[in-house]
Amino acid sequence: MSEKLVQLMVNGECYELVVDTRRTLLNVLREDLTVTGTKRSCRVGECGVCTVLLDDKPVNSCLVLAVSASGKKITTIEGLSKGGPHPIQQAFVHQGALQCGYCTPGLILTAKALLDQNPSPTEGEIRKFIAGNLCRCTGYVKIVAAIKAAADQLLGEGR
Amino acid sequence: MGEPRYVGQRIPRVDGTTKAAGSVTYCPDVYLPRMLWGKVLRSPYAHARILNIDTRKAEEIRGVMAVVTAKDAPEEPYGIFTKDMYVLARGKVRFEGEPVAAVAAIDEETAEEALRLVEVTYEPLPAVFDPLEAMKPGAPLVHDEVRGKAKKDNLCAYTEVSLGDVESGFAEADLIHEDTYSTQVQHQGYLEPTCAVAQVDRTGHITVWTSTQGIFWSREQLADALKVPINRISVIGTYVGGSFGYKGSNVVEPIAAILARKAGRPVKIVFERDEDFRGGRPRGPQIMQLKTGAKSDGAITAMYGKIYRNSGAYSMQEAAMVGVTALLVRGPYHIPNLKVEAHGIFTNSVPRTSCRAPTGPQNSFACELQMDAIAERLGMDPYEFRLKNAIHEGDPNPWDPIVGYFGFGEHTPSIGFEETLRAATERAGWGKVRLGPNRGRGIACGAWDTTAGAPSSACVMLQDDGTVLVLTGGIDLGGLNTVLGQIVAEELRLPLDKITVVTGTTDSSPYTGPTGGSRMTYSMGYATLEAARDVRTQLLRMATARLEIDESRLQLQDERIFDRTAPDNSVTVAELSRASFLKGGPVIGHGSCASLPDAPVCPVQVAEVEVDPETGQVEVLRIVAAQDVGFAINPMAVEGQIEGGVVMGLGYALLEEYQYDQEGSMLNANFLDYKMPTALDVPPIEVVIVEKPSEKGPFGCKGVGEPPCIPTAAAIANAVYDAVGVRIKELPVTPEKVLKALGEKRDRGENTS
Repeated sequence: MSEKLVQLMVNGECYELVVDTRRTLLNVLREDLTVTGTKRSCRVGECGVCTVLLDDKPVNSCLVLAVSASGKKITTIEGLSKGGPHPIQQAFVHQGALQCGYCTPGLILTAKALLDQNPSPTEGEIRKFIAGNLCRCTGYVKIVAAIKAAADQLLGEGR
Repeated sequence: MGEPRYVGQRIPRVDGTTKAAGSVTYCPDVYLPRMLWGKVLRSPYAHARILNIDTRKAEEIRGVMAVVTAKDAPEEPYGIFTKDMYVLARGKVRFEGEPVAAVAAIDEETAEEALRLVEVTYEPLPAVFDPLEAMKPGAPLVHDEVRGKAKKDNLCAYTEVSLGDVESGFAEADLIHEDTYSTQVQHQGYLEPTCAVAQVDRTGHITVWTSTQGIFWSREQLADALKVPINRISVIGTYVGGSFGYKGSNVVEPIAAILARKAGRPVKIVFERDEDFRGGRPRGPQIMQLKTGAKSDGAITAMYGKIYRNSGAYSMQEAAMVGVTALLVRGPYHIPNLKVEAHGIFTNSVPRTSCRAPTGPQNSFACELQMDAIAERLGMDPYEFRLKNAIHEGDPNPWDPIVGYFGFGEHTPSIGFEETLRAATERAGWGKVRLGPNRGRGIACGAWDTTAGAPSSACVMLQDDGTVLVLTGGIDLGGLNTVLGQIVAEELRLPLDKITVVTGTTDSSPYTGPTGGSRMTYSMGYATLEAARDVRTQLLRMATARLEIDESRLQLQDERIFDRTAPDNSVTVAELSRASFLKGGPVIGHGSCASLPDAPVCPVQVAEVEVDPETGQVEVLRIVAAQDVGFAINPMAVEGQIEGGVVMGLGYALLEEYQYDQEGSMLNANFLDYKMPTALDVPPIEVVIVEKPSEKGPFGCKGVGEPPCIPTAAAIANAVYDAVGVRIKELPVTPEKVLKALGEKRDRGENTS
């Protein structure tokens, strides 16, 4: 067993801690840092529920070793609400794009990554980008609508 | 009352903002001081005797605080209808994944390491997996005895439904069609894993945080499993990350509780996805032999069904399942002569529980493919054939036995089936639009009900600031709390932000049955409306005294009560509330109902598909889903349920099934190989809301959540037949099956274009 000192920059705050090198970022976020907005589900990268942004790119945090995230910018769902709800969060709520809410943090972050790189995606582009995020409640219909609505709003705001 | 202001509105979920922020607490997010992590050791064999369990090495691992086996749980079995289940396997294991031992340790990794060191000596036994094989003489017995009595076969449950005389019905028929259909095991597919946190205090009182559909239901089952009085257990229902019928099946709570009791510390168990497959409780597969007779004008004269459910290894709710399928396999049709024999048969497979509309999709698959086959043989349009045989309000209907069971007597439920059928076909352009080559259109219907047989109760309480607190014990899955807020707002004429709906615990809420059977808006809504009316009555009485005018002149609006003829003569609700603290006492309204009359729901869907004749791949181009919701209290929530249900049905139609090897070990116990629809698999879905009010539902509503997943697979299978002329009678409709059928068709010399 081996341990390492890491610096985890989570939502703009730096956490310094010693972690077992085998532990995942998902595990360390939830268990050590008690930042539990990131949810656990399959734990093997097949459902997208645990998605966080690592240097602004969506990753399954269950497949990222905590040690390899050291020094990188980590954004969890908590980071999106700083200073009030993000337009993507608002769109999800107003469009009815969430029911049980379990897939929602991962999906919202995935949507953010999409809109950051493609501010005006087509429906097909949206579906392809979120194909790695499973949802059992909504059938994805209102999720796609919410992402489109958020895109429109962000464009309108010049963001 | 005037135009509704709050009901009928697309109000976003009241828990939406907190969920979108990631700040609601699901069970895996519960952390208690000194909490331990529990892990479960499961049988690798489908059927085996347990010769010995040695836990010493596991106990010696540093950080392991408790190891439990069957001897740490009651000797007596538990169960809903038949008591045949143990907290941890006793004597033998009956399915792959059955819990045999469990460990509580300071972290998950230590618990996993300890599990590996628990030594179980098994003697594998011959196993049986197919229900028809299991019924043959000489088949291995899954249960040798039940309650001390020797068991001679693998029959788990049986029921018969009979109406009229099928023999004479078939004699009258001009055409008889007979076929066999089969469906697969489906996972509910909830994304939040099974989870519970248990804590046992110094007096032995057990507190459990759990993801469940029913806190009182969970408490009752846990009390039964642990042989402990109900009032020695408290259940706190955390937010549920998806359930679809499964959570509340008492799968994890008893194990967490005995670990917590032994360790003297709280214990949390969170399943790995593999465990949710191997150790969960999926939808049961059914083999259905159906024989239907019809006259040449299309009128159905008789139906005879034999249903064989693969019940899995334990009885669970199979006694109810065979009842439901026997009643409803005949669909929403007028069947004057009917006989259905439904069997539940034990096999060495994972036990079953409810999965969104239990037996509904199975029934629809058999019935609707048969209806299409008959229509074709009669030369009738599939829609016209269904219209001709549709049940209507006042007809003897499939739910009559249920009505009789609950003693409703003279109750004629509102049935909007014909309206739904017309609405679906109209939107789909049935018969009007020609589709291209290898494209087809299929229609299918379902017969379901708003299961109103469980009680509900609610308290509506006026706060000192004039706002309202609604307290129920009902778990919010499809949007209950939002809808209750709308109902109370409408009744008390208060803005929505003045109403807070709270879900209590078993310690703090009035009793209610579980959230399931599409019953909550209907039943809990009814009780809550009654409670709100109670508050309204009290307010008006207080205002009458305060304003010194007749109640008939009073208007309750926007947090005030005023004289309609002289609006300045008024009092605020807050003032009345504070006055009540000095005289009369705080204003509390209560509402309560036992069984309400049922409210049948018959969904109709039309699917358009394109089949690739080279690969057998079926692409769904469009689904029109029509449903009679009575009255849509929240149309956005209603759409959400229908869209989600259709996609679940789509998965059932084309993608999802549990796959096993020869030894009964699941091959695809993960999200990669058990394929649930992704965003790329979903076609355009058009939701058509039909509103034919129910008699008792608040504002005329009916249950919404389950029906949408019922007819989807049948609609798709019927569309495939329309496209390329092959009728796949086993779910899921895979490319392999389509190709094989196309090949057979070619071999028979038939045109496949």
